[in-house]
Amino acid sequence: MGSNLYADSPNDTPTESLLCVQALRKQYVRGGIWRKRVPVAAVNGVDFEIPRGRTFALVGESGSGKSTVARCVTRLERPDSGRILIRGINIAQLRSRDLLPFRSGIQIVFQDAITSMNPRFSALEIIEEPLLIQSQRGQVEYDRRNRRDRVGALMVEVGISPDWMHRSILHFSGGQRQRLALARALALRPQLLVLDEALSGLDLSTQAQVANLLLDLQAAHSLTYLLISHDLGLVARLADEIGVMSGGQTVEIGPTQQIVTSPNHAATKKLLAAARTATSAFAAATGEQA
Amino acid sequence: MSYIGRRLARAILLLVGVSALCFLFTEIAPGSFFDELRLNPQISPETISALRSHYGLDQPLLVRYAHWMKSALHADLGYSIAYNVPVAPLLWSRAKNTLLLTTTALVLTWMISVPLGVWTANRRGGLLDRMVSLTGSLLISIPEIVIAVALLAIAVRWRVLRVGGMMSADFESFSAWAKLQDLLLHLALPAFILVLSETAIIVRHVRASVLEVLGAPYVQAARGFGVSQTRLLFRHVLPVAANPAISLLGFSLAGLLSGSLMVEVICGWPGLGPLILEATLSRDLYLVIGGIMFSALFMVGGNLLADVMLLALDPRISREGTDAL
Amino acid sequence: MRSKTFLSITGLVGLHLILLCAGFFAPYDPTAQDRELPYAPPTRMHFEDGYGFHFRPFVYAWTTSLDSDQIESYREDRTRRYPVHFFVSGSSYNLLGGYRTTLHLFDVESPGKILLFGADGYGRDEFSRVLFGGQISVAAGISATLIALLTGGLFGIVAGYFGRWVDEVLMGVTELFLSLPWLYFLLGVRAFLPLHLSTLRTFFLLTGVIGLIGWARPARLVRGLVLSSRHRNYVLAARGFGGSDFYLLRRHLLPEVSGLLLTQATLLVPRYIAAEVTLSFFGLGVNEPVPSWGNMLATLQQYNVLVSYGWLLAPACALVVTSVLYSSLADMFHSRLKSYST
Repeated sequence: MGSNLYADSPNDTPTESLLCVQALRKQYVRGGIWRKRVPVAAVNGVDFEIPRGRTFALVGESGSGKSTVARCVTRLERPDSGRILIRGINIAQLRSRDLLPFRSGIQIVFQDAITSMNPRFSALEIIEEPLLIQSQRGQVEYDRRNRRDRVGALMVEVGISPDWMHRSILHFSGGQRQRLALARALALRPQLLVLDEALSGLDLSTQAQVANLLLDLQAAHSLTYLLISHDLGLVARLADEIGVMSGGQTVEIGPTQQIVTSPNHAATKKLLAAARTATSAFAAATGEQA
Repeated sequence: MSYIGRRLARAILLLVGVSALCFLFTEIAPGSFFDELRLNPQISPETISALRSHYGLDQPLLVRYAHWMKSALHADLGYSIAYNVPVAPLLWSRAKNTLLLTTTALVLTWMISVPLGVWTANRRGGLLDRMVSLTGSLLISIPEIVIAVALLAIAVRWRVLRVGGMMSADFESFSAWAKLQDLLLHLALPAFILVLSETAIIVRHVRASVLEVLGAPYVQAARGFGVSQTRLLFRHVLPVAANPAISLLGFSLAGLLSGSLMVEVICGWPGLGPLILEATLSRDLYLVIGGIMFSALFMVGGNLLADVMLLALDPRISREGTDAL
Repeated sequence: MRSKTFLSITGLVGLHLILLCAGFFAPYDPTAQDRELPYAPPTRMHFEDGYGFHFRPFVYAWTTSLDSDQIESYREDRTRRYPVHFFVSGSSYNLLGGYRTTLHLFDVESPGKILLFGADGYGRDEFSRVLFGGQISVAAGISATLIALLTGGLFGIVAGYFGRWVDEVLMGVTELFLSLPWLYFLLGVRAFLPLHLSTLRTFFLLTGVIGLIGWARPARLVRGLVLSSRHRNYVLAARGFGGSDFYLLRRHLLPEVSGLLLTQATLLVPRYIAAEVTLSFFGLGVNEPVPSWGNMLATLQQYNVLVSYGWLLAPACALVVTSVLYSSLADMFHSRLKSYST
């Protein structure tokens, strides 16, 4: 395999930050030749840090810019300004060729599994795609058999029988597809996993199962998670630290416990209220304690 | 700029683009009208070069184009080399006939297609629906030229309608009523051919859009409130289905114009069609360009009309400001 | 496969095979004239005569005579009887443009003639002409389709993938091309090109013109597809793995695009065949003596021909058959593609 940029060195302190985002800005421009160009600022000053092995959650309402942050961090979009430091190296403005060695270290899992996977492909083809791409570009060495074996191992790890690897993804349920998406994300042994509303499209029981799977995987592979969500209640169970976004900026950051019990910013309070309403309604219906 | 204003600007730009394209072609294309003449030993080279300078063909491309553009703005489209008359009046006199034929066919087509489309969508799977669907499929598969020739053969064989030209030989001696009758009888065959081909296409589209609206949740909801089928159709379904239908108008105009060219030549209707064909065969430069500009004008004009109708129907369009594909 | 699609595919393949081997299926050379038999009606096949039923069909010769109205007409000459032979040796031709042979599917002994579709004004066998004419017309349609789809597909992919101003410019150009009625456009372009060329040149010219006018719509469709696919999450994910532009195009976009292009092909081929027929009908396409369905139908522009010699509509029937077969194939693709896209 190629050089692992994330190899442990004896000088590393165990809580050094893996990801550090500083003053991130990105705007989109609507319109073309015929219409007036209207800039829409999606991300307008975002700062946060994630230490190794921890889970950081970025929450906010729809349109607060969270997904854009996710895309910038994984360099699916290029930010206009700001720094994105991976182990101290700024990848914000790197060209695609220079980005290649970093790609394997950060992976993203999308909300809607069905759209993030090509319906014409089988489970095997989907999960092995990152391996295929990276070996084609000379970053790793994987031949067909190795790829298949690796895919089988990954499928077992996420709880799906490897006998089904030749099935089209249309044959899997929503929860199973999300597991496959996780398997694919883990293929290149990433250090950082960005989960962009990855649990939002699932029903509650599946959500719980996949959340547990995430915790297991984190323990097994020392993964660092960046969770993006609008559901504060869900995030409170998984995250160590929470950052609240509103209007394209990070307005409040702090440990989970602090944010949940004593929020400062109006946006945080609003999200908390929404989460509480849901929980109390559930409690009222079942007669449990809130 | 307002919605219509933008559409108008786009239309004008399109017309300019078409004219530029034409002139570009004349420059790129090998051979010209005069090559054929040159082969004729009876015409001296001096006559040919005199003709060339007379029609301004010995000047560089941009000069010619600018010149043509300037005259075009004064409604002067140059001279026809073969007919030796100004192009614009010649085109206009023929264009009126084409307009008559095309408009008649358009109106008839929509008068038939819309009710038919709505009816068959309403009673989906019924006998009428299946018959219309089958006939439509068949008609769409058959190329228009075949339909035209076949119907002409039938009309001629069984002397059903008057064929050939726009009026009979002794037209002038007819009374006003007989004149109208004569005109209509001559118009009938070409119009019928056009209507047949176009209706097959339009009915399908109308039926599809009505079906789509019928399946929409708000229509189902209205039905749940007990709204009668008729009221449902007229108040809820048609206004929404009208939008894609009117967009279709502009689109179908292209097919209609091409069809009318073919039909005019085959049935001998004295419109733009036979004229353009003549011009093409005799390589009459300015007549061809003028003819193409006229057809582009019809297309663009028709589309603008459709846009105006759409705006009248659904004023939201001007506020959205989207240019749909 | 459902029976309807099976039938249409078999029909299409059969049609193309027959046209390809026109020389084998046609008893005569399409340009061979026979001044004795102008506008001869189709030869009737007989299985029975005074001696009873025969398995081998036979035909009678046509002779002309004056009938009661003093008009010359054809009637069968029962004294001259010619049995139909199969797999016979006749005039030589080039099979598939290379192999020279004289084998024909069927023929009668000369001076007998078997005119399945009758003869035209010069006594040329209409059936043979329909077959050879079909070669030209169908080949023109297919070639034009290939040109239109390759050009349109390429521009569509470029416009959809690179977006921004490239997209705007290309879409502006397609809108220009689409703002004209196609036949006017076709005539216009044809007008600026030399009228009298060798047959081969004319053929290439025709297909080139039809194809280069027709690229606009496929380009638009492909561009729309590429645009919508480009932002799909699975393409984004692949980019996240380090997939290059080329990889994304090849692995994810091309299968979608080729499905679209295939459906378009079944729609465009009959339309372009009709375009060639229309052009040749007007005298702007393939010229005499080379037959094409278009210039064969051109003789019907004369009133008396149209009325009296109905068998000369044979090329129109052949065109209809071809169009209907392609149409049903297109329907099949369309429904299949619809059910596939989620």
